[in-house]
Amino acid sequence: MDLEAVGKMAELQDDLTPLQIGTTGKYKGKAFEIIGRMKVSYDDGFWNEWYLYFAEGKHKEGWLAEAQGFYAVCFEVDQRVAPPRQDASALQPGRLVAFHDHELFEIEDIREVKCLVSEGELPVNAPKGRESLSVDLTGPDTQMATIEYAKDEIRVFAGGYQDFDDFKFHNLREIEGWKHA
Amino acid sequence: MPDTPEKPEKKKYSAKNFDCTRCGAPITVKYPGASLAVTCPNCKVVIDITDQNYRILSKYFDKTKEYEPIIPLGTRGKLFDKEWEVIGFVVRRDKLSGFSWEEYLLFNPYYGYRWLTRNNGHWSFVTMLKDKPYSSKAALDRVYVSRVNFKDDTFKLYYSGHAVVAYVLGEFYWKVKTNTEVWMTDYVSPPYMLSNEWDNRELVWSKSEYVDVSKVKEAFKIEGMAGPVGVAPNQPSPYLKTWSVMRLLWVFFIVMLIGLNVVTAGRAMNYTALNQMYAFTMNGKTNDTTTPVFELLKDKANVEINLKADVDNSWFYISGEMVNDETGDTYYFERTCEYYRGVDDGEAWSEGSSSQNILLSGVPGGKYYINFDTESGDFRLQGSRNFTLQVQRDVPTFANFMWCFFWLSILPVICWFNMRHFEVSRWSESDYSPYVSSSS
Repeated sequence: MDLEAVGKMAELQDDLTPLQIGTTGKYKGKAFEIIGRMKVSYDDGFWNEWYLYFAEGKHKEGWLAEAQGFYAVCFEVDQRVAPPRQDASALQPGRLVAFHDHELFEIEDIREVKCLVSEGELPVNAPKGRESLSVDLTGPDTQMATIEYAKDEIRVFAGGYQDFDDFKFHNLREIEGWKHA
Repeated sequence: MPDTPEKPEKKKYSAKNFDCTRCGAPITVKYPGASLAVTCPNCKVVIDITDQNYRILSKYFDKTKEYEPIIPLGTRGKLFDKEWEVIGFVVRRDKLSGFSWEEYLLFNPYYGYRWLTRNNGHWSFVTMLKDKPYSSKAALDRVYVSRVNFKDDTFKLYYSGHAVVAYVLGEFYWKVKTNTEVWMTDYVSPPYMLSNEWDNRELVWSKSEYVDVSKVKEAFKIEGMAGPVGVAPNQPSPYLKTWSVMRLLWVFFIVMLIGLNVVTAGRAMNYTALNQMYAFTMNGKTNDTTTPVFELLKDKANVEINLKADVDNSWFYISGEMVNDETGDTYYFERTCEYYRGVDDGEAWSEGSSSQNILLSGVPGGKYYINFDTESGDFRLQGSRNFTLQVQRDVPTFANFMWCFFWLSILPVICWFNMRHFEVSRWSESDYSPYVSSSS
């Protein structure tokens, strides 16, 4: 698949997300505001990574991954918890990884991803066109984690899924023909 | 192009239109930002809408078998407090049995995707799970367990097999293809069902909840929908609740009944009011013998008349009346004591009994006597024998208890049978039924 071509298409194409820069919400009771967005592509489609700013708490910055109506918030953690790069090829869906506080996480999928477009404020190491191997994991009680094997670095994010209603979103984007209950 | 383009916020959302790359018929994608694949309404091929050239994902379509979704695509309805639009329709088939069921893909841009499944006319609302009931490692190894614990519920294995995509219509958030198959396992705990689907690449868990057909009809304004057939794997039992309440009540009343019986038995006087021995002559009769007057205490209680006759290969018959000396109230009774024994072909046998008893209930207190006639027969012997007539007042009895127990148990037993019949029907389509004996 021609990622450049897809990228152009994706830019032009509205992706029906209810979120936008300026949307506020809460994750586990902590308030945040969406300040930036990365649209990431992989073989079978796209998803959005929204960059969050938390006014209070240990983590000031976080990510809200949005795909197919699932919403997960995660924070960057020490990359040393991840299996080293050379072992990444041995990873496969269904594998259990002793990860993050020694809990067992299960590999959900492994994808070659590319950052297609971005808008708003983003951390410096999230440039457009950045390619990486993304390993998504799920843990006990709707926990999740992502390991990103990029060319020159490994980054690890950990967090959890939360139901849409629990986010108590404000300033959502209006979607024609749909009312947000 | 700048790295962070400042796009003006678009409020309008528009469908995408193009012509089918196979037959040229116009195709509309209603939610192109969310959907990745669409079927041509005319020739039914599946097209990749993320591809610039609208690549055909799946050419397969079965002309001989067209399925019509009972809820038309594009219909919106409110289920579980949210509004959903039916955007896709899939028919899947169990590879082994050929049994097929329908799945309706529901979409809401805020809440994502859900499924409504229709199986033998029974509906279920399906939500994808991110927390896995158990590791897919087990699924990878083809080790499946008979029970799964998930959020305080225990789910029992109901089905496992290969599910094949037989037919698709509409638009989908993944690149759906006909004829692809997944390994599927269902676990039930009504009204819920846990399912996992595994295709070598990923394992997806979902949770279904049984939805009454009337709710689906009402939500999507569908008229004339065929009703359900049989019992669905996750259909809540209408008898289970009645049975569990009934069981509690039943246990409660039985305990009460036993307690009551113990108390009354303990308080029974159980004394001998009369114990007389009389003689009778074999093959003779006696008429109008009267016992001494005896006293029955208590206002009202039962009376047991015990008769023991010295019979051996003979019979003794008594007919009598117990008469209240003051009021003249009379209780009639008659009994035969007969006892035979012998040896046939070297084997000893015996039948009958030399004693009999008569229970009279609710006999008022007072002075009583008994009048009686007797008759007896013996084919070999003549001469005199004895019999005793004993009157026992206020004996502990279990007859009342047994009757109460019987009547008290009728409804619970019916409830239990209904409940069990429902469960047997539920499991009749399963290879893992706990109700199937090894012989069938």
